[in-house]
Amino acid sequence: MRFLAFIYIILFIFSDLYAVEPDEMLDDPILENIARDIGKKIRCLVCQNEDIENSNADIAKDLRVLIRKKISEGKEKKEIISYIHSRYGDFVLYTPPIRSDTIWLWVFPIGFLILLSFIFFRKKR
Amino acid sequence: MTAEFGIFFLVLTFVISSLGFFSTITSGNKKKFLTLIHHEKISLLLFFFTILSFFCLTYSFLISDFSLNVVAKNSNSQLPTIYKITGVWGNHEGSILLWLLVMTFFGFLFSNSKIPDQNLKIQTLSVHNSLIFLVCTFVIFTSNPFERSFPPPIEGSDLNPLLQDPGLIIHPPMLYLGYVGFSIVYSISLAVLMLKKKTNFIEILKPWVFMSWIFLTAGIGLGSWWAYYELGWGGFWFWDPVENASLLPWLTASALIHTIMISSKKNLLINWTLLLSIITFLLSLLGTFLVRSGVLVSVHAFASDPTRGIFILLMLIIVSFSGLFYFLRRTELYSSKHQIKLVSREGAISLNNIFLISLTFTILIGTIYPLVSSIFFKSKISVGAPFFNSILTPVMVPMIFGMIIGPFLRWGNDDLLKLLNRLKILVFLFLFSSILLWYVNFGGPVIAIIFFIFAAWIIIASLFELTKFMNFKPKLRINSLPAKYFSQSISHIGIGLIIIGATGSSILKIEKIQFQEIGEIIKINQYDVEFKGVKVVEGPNFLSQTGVFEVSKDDAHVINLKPEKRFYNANKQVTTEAAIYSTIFGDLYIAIGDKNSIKNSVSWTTRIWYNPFTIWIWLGVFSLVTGGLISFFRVIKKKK
Repeated sequence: MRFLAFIYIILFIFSDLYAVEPDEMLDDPILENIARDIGKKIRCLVCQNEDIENSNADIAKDLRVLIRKKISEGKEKKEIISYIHSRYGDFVLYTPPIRSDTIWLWVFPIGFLILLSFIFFRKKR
Repeated sequence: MTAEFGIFFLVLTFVISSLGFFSTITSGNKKKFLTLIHHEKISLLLFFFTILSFFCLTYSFLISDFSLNVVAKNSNSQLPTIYKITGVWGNHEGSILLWLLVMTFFGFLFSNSKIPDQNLKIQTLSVHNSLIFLVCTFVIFTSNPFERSFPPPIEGSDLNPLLQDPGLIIHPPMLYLGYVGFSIVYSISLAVLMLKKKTNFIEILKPWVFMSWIFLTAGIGLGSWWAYYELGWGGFWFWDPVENASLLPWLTASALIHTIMISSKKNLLINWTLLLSIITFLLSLLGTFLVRSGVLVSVHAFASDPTRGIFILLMLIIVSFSGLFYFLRRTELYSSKHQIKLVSREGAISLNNIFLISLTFTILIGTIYPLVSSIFFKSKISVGAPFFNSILTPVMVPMIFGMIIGPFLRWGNDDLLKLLNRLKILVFLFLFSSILLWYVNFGGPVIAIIFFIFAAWIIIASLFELTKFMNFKPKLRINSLPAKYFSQSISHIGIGLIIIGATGSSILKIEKIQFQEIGEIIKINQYDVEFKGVKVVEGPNFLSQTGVFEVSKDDAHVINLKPEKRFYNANKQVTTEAAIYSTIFGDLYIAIGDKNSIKNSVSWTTRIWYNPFTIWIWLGVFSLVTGGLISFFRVIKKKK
């Protein structure tokens, strides 16, 4: 059984369940925090529903490394996000870009709030 | 043979429940199709046959009958017995059967409760049995758990290891008790609308609303707790569609709990009570079935099993159409002429409703928007945590203020200045606590301090409210403390605790991720975490790579933590079991990764978090449930 265990651990040695690896991280904690912040806004393209910070997929790792490289190069948060957006499309963003087809995501709730307030507090005859 | 009995009992349930369906359709007729005694017998039989059918499925899991598809896909002969049983509802077919079981159980309970109005009881039972008929049809024709395959596989492919966990034993049934409890609430409301009944129904509705809300709260809390310790990265809420689906009915149910109070006390907002009763069940239905069909997670689920998707859609249309149709037709009957002023008790409760329902609507839109947008705009978008978090804060703030001020406002009309005068001491306490918190500040950013202050205000105000009923002279006596205020305060304190916990564990979280060598000490918060090494431990159906960490504080030994990484034999899946040391101030959370293959020295990836105040979240949920229970028992007692 010991031997089996050994085989298992060898087999799974590269299948870390977690995300960010120690060797990916930036030395400067402030920059690393910015990287985390960006990572939480980016969806892993091949997972069920995970951001790249919490995903163990290869593509998520590549993106994490890419983000940290760009930060080290002195790129702004916005620039990095729009770069990833332009490369991978809308699906990668957890907050969709505001456009004619997505604006309803904000318009409906606000409209709904106003409508409800009107219904509750309207003047009654 | 057991499986054949199982399906036989299901067909019996189907046939008997169809009686309820016909009775509802013909309820317009003068001559009643069935009498009350018929209905009571029907409810008993439905429960009896469904439970037999459920036992058949459980038995098939216990004896590992892999000729059943469900068993073959979700069990394994090596699986510990307890997980063979919970595996019954760890899959689509079984969980829908559990749903049906809970539904018939509540029908049976309702048929045995004392309802003064016979007609209302008949109508409610026939509506409820129609719902059972719909769900039973769904089970038999699209999600039959007793389907066999030939030849049967020799071994099952195992239950998803993530679900092999004590938290998952009670979480789904709890959630279902909540969801399905609202089917009774729906049935009563629809029956009331159909019969144009004007009085005496709020009291019948009340215990069911409280009971379902309690189960739903506990179910969501347990699910969140499970996610926290099992998913291994220390989060407790991920805004996943599955979680959102359970949050939606909880939000409307919480709104309902508030309106039902005014409805029973002041005869106000009765139309909202009825509408929320209907909508809450619709959302439960929508949530469960959308999640179960897989439509939300992946758009392709519709294509892979179109019958299931179409059936769900049909069922939703029938249930929501009949509910909303009757509501709109009868709405005149229940709307009152009373003008609601913003600065008054009912104004605060209205505000609570406006924001809770708007929040529900927003989360609903956010959850289904990717689906809608792929159909209408052919665009593939994602809506996730950053979006939901950004809408949560602006909605939370007015609700928090409403929660603080509301309980002190008078009915009808009040004045903010007079209120301020009445609450001089409280205002002073607010200021004092704010300054204190600002000074202590926990080293966090401003936003964290603001949330802590809000939470403190909620808790202080709730406690302050209770002092009204206490008599300090000659010695502390709780003078006929009304259970109603007590339950309200405890629930509101629960919300305050959850805010503290959520703020602490998300904003103030400290993280250390590193390759840790054996013998190396990592300092986090006040703890020294020494890595002692890794050993291999054999579990019943898995192998565990167990890390040993010695935690000490000021050179005094605190605890040994043993996070694991498990390799499940049957389906070669890996899970993490984090090790957590909880104190009132925060959780030390350790997870172990892989042996480092890059460096030369022997080191492992270790992830150590300090999550401040996480335990307060669970205390808050406990507090909410306690508040609910107090109300529930008060209502039950009053009825007798």
